[in-house]
Amino acid sequence: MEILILGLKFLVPLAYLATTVTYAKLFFAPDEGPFARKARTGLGISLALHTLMLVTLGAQLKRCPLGTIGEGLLFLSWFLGTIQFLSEWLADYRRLGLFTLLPTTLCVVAAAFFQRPDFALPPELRSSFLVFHIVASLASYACFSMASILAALYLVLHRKLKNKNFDITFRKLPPLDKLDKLSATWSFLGSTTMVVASVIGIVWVRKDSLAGMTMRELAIYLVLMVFLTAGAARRLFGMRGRVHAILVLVGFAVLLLTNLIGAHGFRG
Amino acid sequence: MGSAADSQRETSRTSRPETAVPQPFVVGANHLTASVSLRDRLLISEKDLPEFCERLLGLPGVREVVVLSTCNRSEIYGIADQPSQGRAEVEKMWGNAKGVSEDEIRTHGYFHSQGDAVRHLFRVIASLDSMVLGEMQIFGQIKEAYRVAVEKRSADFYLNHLFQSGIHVGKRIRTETTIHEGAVSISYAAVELAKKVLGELKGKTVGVVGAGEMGELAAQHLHKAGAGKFIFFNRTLATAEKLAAEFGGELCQLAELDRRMAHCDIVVSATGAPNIVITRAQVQEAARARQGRPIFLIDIAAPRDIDPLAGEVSNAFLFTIDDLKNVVNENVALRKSASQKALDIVEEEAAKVEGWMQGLDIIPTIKNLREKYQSVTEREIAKWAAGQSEATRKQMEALGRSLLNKFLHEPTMGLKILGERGEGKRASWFAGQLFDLANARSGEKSKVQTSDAPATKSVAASGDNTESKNHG
Repeated sequence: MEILILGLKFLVPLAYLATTVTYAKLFFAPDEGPFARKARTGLGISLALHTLMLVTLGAQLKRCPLGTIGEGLLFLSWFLGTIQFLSEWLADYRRLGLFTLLPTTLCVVAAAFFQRPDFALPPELRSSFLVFHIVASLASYACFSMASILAALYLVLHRKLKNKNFDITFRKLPPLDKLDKLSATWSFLGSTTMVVASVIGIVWVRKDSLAGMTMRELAIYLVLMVFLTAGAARRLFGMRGRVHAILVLVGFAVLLLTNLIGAHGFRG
Repeated sequence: MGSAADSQRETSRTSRPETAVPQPFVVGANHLTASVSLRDRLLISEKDLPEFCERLLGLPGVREVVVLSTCNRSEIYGIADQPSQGRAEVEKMWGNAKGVSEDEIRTHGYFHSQGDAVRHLFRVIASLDSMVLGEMQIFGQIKEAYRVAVEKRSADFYLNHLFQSGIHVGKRIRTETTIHEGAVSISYAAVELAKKVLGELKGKTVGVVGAGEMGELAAQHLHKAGAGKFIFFNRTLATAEKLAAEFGGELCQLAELDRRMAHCDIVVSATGAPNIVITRAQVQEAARARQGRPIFLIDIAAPRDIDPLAGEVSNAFLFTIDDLKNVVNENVALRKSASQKALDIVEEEAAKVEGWMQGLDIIPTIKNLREKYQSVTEREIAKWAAGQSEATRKQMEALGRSLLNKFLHEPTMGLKILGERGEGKRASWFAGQLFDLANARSGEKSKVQTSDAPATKSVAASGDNTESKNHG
């Protein structure tokens, strides 16, 4: 088992790295033909290895591998990879694989540095609430990541259209309207899953009182507020396009900053 | 004439050449070699095509034909025993039919034979020879020309192979290269840019300012691309009435532009006005009313109709005719860079067809070889089977066939390989000497002619006797 995990620790980042390179070629090469199938196959193999790694890790630890930052990053990257894989079936998403796979690969590589095999969950965390809470949180992180990637691409394409720069990036990106709608959809899904994660957390830890919230928790609610504001402004006041994209990016930036702020609420 | 053509066609269909392998050729004129007026005169209409094919098939030495005739090219692909003779006959007939002299066709046209004819067809299919590099309409036109030829039974063994290989080339070009990607006309570039901003144009509203030719052309392309609703703005409504009727659109006075522009996802302006028709303030107001939904503006007027500062308005995207020209130029450059790969595919597939054609040189020799030893086998079986039961005779025939196949397998394969390597003629001569094939055919024929049934019987009888003696 240990040898298998050790092998997968090397194989999974390598597989993602190779797949990302193929997606980069797919995006930047004028002739996509040779790379389209290779990219999808590479993603399929990477995801299969990734899933195997999570299952094996769970079997070795005898718990859901969500206890450490490394395990969390591994789970988050698995969500992103799966989203890309499913999106290729559901929509014309293949050309955007580079932008999804790049953070996925970074997360997988970073996960290797934050692994703590000797980590044991404290007794207060040994609850099925933890699994649901963290899975929902990571799903919302993945959705927000997708929303912000698409928002950033929206701004890139917007700029290229305004500057009349018809280069390869301009050619390969999906229409502006599609980027806007997709970003809004992922933003909505992220907000929903984050609300679910928060409700689970409240029911689990703070069912008696909401007092004593940590900075991190408050920051998370700020993130949620930004995304909900972006969604509401879009729906109620028609704040689509550039404004929406900027709001989504601000929300994501705050989300990243929350991870630098203090410890989580369960210790409070 | 029809019956002569029929009988010749039947001959070519039922039997492959006995001595020499016919070769492909193409005679034609296109946009690079002939003027529009000559191309118009050489055009073979769809209505005239069946009769024209019949007449071509009636020409001496011409075995198969496919006629491709479009506004940019008229070409006759044929199979003839002697391509140069086929060319002369086709030019004469074509010239007579269309009132064009043979010299004119020869001077302003082209002729290719054998491998060059194959390459020419593949280049045409790959749209490397088209007026607009990478346009894919020609692929459909060639498929249609071939379909008609098959239907009229003017394409057979050789042209079937050639055109099916050509269709395969066309498919490879479409999937493996980007030669057909990107708009290369101004109006289509406008549609592509609109799609880049708005996504699918289905159901989008288009405002056309000005009722001139340019506005009409843009409306046509946008209509074709799926735009759902049209609003025509003009100073005089009577002028725009025709357009409104054609596209099922709404008519509005130019003064209503302020109020109605916000309803338009796309605005095409092509008036002949000397001053700015759409101001930045108007665009800003429309963009505000559209609540963040983008508005796509195309200014194809000269002088400009839309204030250049309108492009600075958030969610408004303004493009002029110069921008569209830039898009077209970049796409043309991209297509040119992709054409090398298309050429490589053409070369690769043409080499395959050439290999196949070279392999055909050896077919008559293989046929002769087989016929010679088949007749020997049949004779021997007839000799040995006389007086035997029906079951025994059948067993002997099966044994004969099996031995014949086994003995001839290796020489046949060897000859085919040599043929594909382009050594068909040498191999044919060598096999002819080795197996005495030239004499064998005439010998067999004379034997059959002189002997016939009684003689065969006597041979069989004498054979029987000999064998009886031997057995005895």
